[in-house]
Amino acid sequence: MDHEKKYNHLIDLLGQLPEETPSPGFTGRVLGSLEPKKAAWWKKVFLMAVTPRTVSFTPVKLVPVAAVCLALIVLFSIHVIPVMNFHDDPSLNVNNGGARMENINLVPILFKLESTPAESVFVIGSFNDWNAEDHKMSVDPADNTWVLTLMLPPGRHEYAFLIDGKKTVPDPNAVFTRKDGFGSYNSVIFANHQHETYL
Amino acid sequence: MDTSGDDQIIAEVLGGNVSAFGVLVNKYQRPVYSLMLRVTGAPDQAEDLAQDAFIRAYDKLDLFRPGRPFLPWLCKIAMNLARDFLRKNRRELNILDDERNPGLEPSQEPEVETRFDQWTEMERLTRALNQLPWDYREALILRFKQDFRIKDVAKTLNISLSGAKMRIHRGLKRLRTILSQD
Repeated sequence: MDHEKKYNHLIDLLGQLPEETPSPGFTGRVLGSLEPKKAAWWKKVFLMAVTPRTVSFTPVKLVPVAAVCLALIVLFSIHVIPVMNFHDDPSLNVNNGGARMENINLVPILFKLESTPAESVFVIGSFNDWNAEDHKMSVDPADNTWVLTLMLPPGRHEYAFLIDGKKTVPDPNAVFTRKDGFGSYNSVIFANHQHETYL
Repeated sequence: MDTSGDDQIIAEVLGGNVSAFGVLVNKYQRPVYSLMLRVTGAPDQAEDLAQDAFIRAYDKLDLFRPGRPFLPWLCKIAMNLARDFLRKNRRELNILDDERNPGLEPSQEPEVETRFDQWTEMERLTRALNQLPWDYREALILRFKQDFRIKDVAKTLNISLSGAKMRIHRGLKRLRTILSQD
């Protein structure tokens, strides 16, 4: 109250007024008249939940905990958050000769085309801009199985096989396909570390 | 005002721990006894009333709302007992004060010096307070000695909020006037 300010000295004195003390044993006489209260278990739980409590801590003792939490946050952001989409960035393919390898976790993907007699087979796809130049497959002449392992960034990729530089065919073993807009289909793979995909 | 300490004790008491109530009795016996002594003027009666106030508070403890200050709630119980006591003894608070304390001298308080030239500022204050009407005096003591909020002063004295503000304001004014004339 504003008008109390002009009485500050008087108020200070009032605050220092002595108090009277009852005779010795007062507390004991009060407690001697009381019976213990019997509270149901649910009421005890309720009281514990609604009773305000004081929590005290020493800030310096929290530094190790804070350091551990910060380390966990950093590890989480590095290893768990998905990396950006590298579909259109062939420089990130480690098998692209002379390409600079970014600091990302690439997934080994084995491409396989069985029983296909041909002079040459290339893998083309969203990871190399549909350019056959660097992704020539090797052939096992015993059964005409063509194979090539590529390191791809995690995520979704479309691809097809280019046979003898002329004919483009989808992977007959691919689970997922997508129309290529030219009357045919591309194959689709989903590369990730937990489930490295072998085709 | 941090009431978490009292709240935790009350939770203990409601959980069946009687001895925990002793912490509250030790903490608040002096202000409650002092209040009853100012009402009755007699130490034995004041002690009986203070004891009854704590026992009554214990009985009603499950009605106390956590988070609120305990002393105003306890003092309200004590004042209700005091009014019943005075009614039974056909005494009124305000009249009691005027009849009992017409210019009360500090020498009638057991611990106060009687020689005028040895009176301290506190003794002068006590003497001046005793010259105020009872409700004015209690409003000042509850507000500035016990640090009650104004609404707690109103609840304890069973008056309105504006009534409490008026008694505090006028009480300070009259107190200063009495002291300036001393």
